[in-house]
Amino acid sequence: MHSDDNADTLSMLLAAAGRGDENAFAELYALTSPKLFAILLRIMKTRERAEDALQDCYLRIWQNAERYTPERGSPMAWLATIARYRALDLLRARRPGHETGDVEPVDEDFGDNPHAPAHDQTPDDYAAEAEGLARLDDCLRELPAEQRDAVLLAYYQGCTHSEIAARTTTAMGTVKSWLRRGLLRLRDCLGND
Amino acid sequence: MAQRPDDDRSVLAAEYALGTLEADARREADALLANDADFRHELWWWERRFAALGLRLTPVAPRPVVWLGLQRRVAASRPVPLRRTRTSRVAVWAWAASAASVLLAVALVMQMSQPPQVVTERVEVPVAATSYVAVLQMPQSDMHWTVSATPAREALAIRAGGEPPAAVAGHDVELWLITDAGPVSLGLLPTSGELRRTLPANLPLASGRTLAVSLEPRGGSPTGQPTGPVLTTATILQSG
Repeated sequence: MHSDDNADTLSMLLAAAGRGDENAFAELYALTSPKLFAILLRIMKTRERAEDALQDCYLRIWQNAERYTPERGSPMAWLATIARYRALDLLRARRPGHETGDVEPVDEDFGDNPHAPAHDQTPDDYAAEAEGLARLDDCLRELPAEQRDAVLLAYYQGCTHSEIAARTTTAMGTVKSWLRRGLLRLRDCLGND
Repeated sequence: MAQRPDDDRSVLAAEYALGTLEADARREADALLANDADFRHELWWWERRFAALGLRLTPVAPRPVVWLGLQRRVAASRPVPLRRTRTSRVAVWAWAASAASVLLAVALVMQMSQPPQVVTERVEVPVAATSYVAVLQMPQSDMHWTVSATPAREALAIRAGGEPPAAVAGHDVELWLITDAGPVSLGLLPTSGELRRTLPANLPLASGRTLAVSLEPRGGSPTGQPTGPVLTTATILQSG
């Protein structure tokens, strides 16, 4: 199994990096940085900021590598989580107030066509992440469009409630209720596994 | 997971993972995280699900300069490696030094003219051997090689992983360092297991340079230059 091999390799590299093995850390970086960089580029918007964030988050990974446990999901999922939290911290530090400009459309392709291929995605990526991505896609498609868009705006663009409200020209209370209902439906759809 | 938290808790965890919470809600979640294992597991559940959204994005390779900067920061963040024996030796010397100064003071008072003893400690400075690493991943296949090279030790280590694709059957794959003067062969790549061999001397290895893998007839390129298609390339990173 490709995905298992990959998770095993990454677990091994994380463990070695946690013991201070710089070669293992370099290998971990070489294998995983393009994926984390894609996430950071999306949230940080510019290459320079994404590069700073990437350094920052690998510094954290280096310092915390021994804290990874399989309870946190696959090694790749854990690394992606670290990267995203770091990006959000940097984003919030940079724009403490509101930012209403820079409006971007929600471009995740979970449109009305249930057979539309998820863009930005290759079969290999699916195989590499054994965390039920296909199921997540299905569950997202089942959400009403505004609930889905609120979740995706929050995830991919790092938007807060007020930013989502500004981007969708909607009242804040409505945004909160979209998110709440959307997340609870996702929870039901994805089950307890 | 043991028990599913109620809806409020689950939404709080999900929004914590998404990053949409206002400051006071985030503080509430932080307090729960510290004390409530169920809440922690609920958060982790959501983190894993959301991570899948991030990992669906097409990977983008960062520029090599990012790794170089990271290495400097890693080096700067590293605590000074004082081994325990060293620490205790320092403590002994410190004690001895202060004892010596007391003795010296006593000696001066006693009008004796012995010179103070000069205490020296030999400090071993490890010579850092620069290493390079690159991961070569075959597209459309899980075959990959991790190549690490330490020029000071003339050491080249290659670890193969995954299954060789069908295209490789009946051929050999050869590793090349792309130099300013063109490709230089680093020998054939194994398709499984680990291989160590001597690294040719005077290679212009450097961070940011490219390694390439080409498909060759059995036994490797007959010409000393790649003759088959290039299967994959990777950028070299300095790792130590």
